[in-house]
Amino acid sequence: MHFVNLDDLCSPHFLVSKMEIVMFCQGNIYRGTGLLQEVVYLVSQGADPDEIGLMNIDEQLPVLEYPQPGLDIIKELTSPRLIKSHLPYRFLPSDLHNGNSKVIYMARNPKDLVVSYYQFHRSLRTMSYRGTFQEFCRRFMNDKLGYGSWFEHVQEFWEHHMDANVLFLKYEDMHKDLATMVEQLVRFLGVSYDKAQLESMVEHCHQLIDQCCNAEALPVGRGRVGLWKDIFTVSMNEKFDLVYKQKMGKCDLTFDFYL
Amino acid sequence: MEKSRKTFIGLIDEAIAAANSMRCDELLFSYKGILYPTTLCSPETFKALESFEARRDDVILAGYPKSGTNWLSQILTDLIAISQKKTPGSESSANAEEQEEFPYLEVGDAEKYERMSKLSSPRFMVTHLRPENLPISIFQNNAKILLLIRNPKDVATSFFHFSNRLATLPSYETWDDFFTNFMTKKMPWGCYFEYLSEWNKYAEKENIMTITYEEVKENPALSVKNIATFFGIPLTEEQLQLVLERSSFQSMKKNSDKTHGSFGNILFRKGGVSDWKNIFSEDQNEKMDKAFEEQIAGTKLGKKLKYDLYCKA
Repeated sequence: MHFVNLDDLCSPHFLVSKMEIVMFCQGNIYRGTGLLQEVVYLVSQGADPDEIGLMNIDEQLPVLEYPQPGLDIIKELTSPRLIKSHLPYRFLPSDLHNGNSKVIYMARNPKDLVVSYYQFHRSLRTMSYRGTFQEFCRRFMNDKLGYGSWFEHVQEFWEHHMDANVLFLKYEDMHKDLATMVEQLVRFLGVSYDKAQLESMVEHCHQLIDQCCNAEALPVGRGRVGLWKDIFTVSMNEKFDLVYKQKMGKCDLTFDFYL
Repeated sequence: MEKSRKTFIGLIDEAIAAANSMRCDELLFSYKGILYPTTLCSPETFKALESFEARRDDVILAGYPKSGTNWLSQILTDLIAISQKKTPGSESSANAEEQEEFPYLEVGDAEKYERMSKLSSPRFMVTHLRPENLPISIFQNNAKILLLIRNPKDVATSFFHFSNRLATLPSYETWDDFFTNFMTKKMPWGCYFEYLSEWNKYAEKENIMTITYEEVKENPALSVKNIATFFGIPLTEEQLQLVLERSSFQSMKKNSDKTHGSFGNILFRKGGVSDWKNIFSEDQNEKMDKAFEEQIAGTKLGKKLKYDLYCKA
């Protein structure tokens, strides 16, 4: 896979200007950010979901570190830009560290994440991962997957979750209480809706989530919370809990592993 | 080779050969609402079994499939040999004049009970049957029964591997398929939970002793002593050691060619506790916990299984 040179991102040539929104989500590239970007898109643009259905959001929003469309094109986009990235916090453009742009981070419980990530690796032609889930999960626990350690990734962002320009979201909350999450987004993005608009926005978002998690067209409903329970064996779960405890020990971030 | 083992190996080999030419859906048949392997059991034999005449001094081992009945059979046949002043494993312990029967009571031809009536005491037999399907004379004549039970998670795990290795049982594409069948009463010899519920009604009887696979595993010496006491067989320390040595997993696996033929490889896989953790998904784990809690946990046998110790992660 080709990515842009990280030096380019950190150099002064690439500036993410004020009021821009960058979304992050490591691991569950497909479903996690997929859903998030749709929700954010809806909220930020006040867009009609029927219209979104026609466009492919996935292709609408550029990924910061991908060669396509590339930094040159991203630079030329009109503000406010919606940009995606899976990079760790430390590799982000300095304007994000300085608080000049807005950052929305979506974290997902790592057990569902690793299952979804595995299925993603298997389905993607460029990856076509051939190993077993057990092997994949071991790689995950040993930080041997693309974009590096999930444990570090999530903790780095969590350290900044109180920053004014950072909104730290959890995937499971989107399923638990979508309305609150939409309200958070509205407030964070500084858009204004009246009550009726807000309600219809939540309703649109609900539909999106339903499509993502329950649609039979999707491989085994990868968006579901508690997905891992069908895949993790009991012994794998024991090992995972141990590794999780070791690597997340001091962190006060918690996850819902099922709803 | 001991004659009884010849009978054993011959019968299994024949069943495997017969099963190889059968379709998967022919491998099991239903009798009184319970499934059995076509190559091992038959309605005629079940019918004949009803009038089987048990003796007070019969030694009966009862256990659901994959609970360790082959293991306990080894221990019991040695104990019986000792009770007859024979040395376990020596040629003299095999009764050359007598054609021994296949030890599983419900397996074989319909005439086997007639032949068994001529065997000298004590006769040894094993059964996977539920108590209500055993011949009534067993309970009327107060034959002694050693009831062997094992935690359901290891039973299911073992049963899955066994089914896929043994031609006489239907095999499964995936563990998930097997698990679904295990939980929905589609196993040969019936549902594990019903088996325990039925036997639980007999658990208080004086002529029935219950033992768990796990306790034999953890303290084989004490277990063998208790079993010997139950059947009234005096045992010297030396004899005890011999029985223990011959019934260890290693030595049974090593000798399995002689004792079980090609079946030995199928039968002796791991012989452990807690292998289930490597195969049960978290979801299946919760389903099993729930089923156990609802159906077995409160019963005498359920408590004896020490589910929290052996089945909780």
